[in-house]
Amino acid sequence: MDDQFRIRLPERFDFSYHKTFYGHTYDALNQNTSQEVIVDFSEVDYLDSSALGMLVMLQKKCAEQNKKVVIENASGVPSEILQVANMGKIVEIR
Amino acid sequence: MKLNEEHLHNTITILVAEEDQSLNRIYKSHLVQQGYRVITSLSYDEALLILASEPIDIMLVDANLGGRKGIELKKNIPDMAKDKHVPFILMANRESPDILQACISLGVDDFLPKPINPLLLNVKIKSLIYHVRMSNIVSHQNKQLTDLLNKSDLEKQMVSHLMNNHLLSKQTSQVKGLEYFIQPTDDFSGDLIVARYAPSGNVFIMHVDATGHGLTATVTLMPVVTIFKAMVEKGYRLESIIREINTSLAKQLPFDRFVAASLVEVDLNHGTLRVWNGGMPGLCLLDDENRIIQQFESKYMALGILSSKEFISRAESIKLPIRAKLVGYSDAVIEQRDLLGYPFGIGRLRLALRQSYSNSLEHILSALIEHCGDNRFDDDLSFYQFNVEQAVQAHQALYLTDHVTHTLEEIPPFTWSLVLVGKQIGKQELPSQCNQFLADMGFHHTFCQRVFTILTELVTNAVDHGLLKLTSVLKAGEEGFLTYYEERDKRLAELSKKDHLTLSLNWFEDEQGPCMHLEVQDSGEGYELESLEKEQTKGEYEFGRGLALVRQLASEVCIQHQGTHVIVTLR
Repeated sequence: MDDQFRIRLPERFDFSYHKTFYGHTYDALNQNTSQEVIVDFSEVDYLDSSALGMLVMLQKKCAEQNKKVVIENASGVPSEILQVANMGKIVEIR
Repeated sequence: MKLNEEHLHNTITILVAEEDQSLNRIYKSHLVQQGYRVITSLSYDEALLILASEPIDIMLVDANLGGRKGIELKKNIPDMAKDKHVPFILMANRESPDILQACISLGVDDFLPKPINPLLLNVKIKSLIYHVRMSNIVSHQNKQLTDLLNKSDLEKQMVSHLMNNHLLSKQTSQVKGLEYFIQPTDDFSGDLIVARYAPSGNVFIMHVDATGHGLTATVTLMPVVTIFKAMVEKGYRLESIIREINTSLAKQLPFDRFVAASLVEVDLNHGTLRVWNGGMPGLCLLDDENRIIQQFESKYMALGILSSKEFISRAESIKLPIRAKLVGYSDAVIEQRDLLGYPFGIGRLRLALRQSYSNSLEHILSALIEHCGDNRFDDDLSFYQFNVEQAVQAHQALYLTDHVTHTLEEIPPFTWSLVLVGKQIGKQELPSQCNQFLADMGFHHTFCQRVFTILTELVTNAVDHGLLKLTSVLKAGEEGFLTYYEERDKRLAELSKKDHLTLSLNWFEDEQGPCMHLEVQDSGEGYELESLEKEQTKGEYEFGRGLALVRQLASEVCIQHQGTHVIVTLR
């Protein structure tokens, strides 16, 4: 779909991924066609607190450009972590 | 670093020491042709002078220099040229064993037999240049690394000082009923547990887990702890403290840094527990048989993410059973993995909590160590237990207060009064402001606490019952506290010009000696005092609640006009 920008996350979404993630963030911000940035959690089975930090960063940057961040396919422990962090308060979790 | 040949040649200076003038000239022209800068010398002494005054990169030295041995130059390199390694090539007529032996023992870098083969000379010089470059790079990087390590050591010492003196201050361990455990993965922790008494004797516990770990995580916690300590000690309300920390972090931290936190206020005067949880695993309240009777799940986002407008600081409140323990832990506790990679998990944690008899802390720790195989955990890890009964026992001792010891000479008489109108009544924290005012006037800490506790009761009564006409009946039931506080907020917002709250402090002397009058007056219609007093003294916390507490702390209490005007005397 044209109006979506998709970021597919690796199995371990932690500090080691931050460079790549900020690359994706940069790309997401620098294309004008899509208003929705989808963060795909289907592969993720581990995330740490810096991963939450990256998501918050993505959301804040996107909000500045009126883009919306959506988390998709989170399950198991990662889904629980997102819930404890109340991530649903700033991004949509599908 | 790129080894550009041309660039190399331009910057390389070769010292040629050869007593034969014609040979000397030949070497020079050959080397200059190759692009090197060449300085020649015809004697040993001349070579020494040049070494002392010119930056030389490579030395090409003949074995015989007018009666002195060229090789001695290697031994006698002037001090100023000694700080870097200058490759030394010795030229000699034949490869006599003595010369070779001397070359080896003096660490000569290379040897060229005479007559010199120009091609061989080129190759040797190039290879030496390469070594010089490499060793320069290595020594440069070494220096940088050493500098960085030194710097990082200094920084660590600095933060470690702050960590031990500020973040992990002794006062937390002096809070009665609290036991805690913090284990950082390296020197610094992103997890922290800080506890303090408010002037009323209420216990505030803050448990924080900053994003990441180590130094950067610890640094994030500095403002959090500073604000927490200062505001608790000044007597601010839990909500105001949480809000202030969030605002300050949201301003100071980059977007991807924040602090998951739980903040707890245990009101020992009224037997209530208030919990705000943003991003921490649920806190567990256990009864005296270690059954979980209530959990306080994370309802909000961590501190430092949301703007003040979006941020909600409303804490959950419940009546606190006296025989209870509150347990809080960071997510690292349930995430610790065993050798096969299985996390400790909430199930094992609950089991450990249930099995504990006197001390949950040791049980959790030993269960964790048993699970992981050792006590090296892979993330900052922390948990605490707060035993209500122990805290209450210690709290009772607090009220064996001394009499006023100040004289009018020491603190001259004064009157301080304030009238609040309408919405300001809900915004100002009068007990806390009076506490600071009295401390500034020079009153003892314990006296300020006494005043703070009394004023908290009087102001709450005047506002909640006098002006807002709330009854404590609202607090009953499952959602009782929530209903009560929501109703309270609603009615506070409806206050208008006709609603007044007057407070005055009067320090003077009468025939019985120095004394302080605290007066609180409200514009409400008054309330049935006796029923209120009865209501406030029910329950397990038979020790001082509401007006009973005020009577306990005051020398005299005078209640007029259905409770709309209360004068308390302290001697």
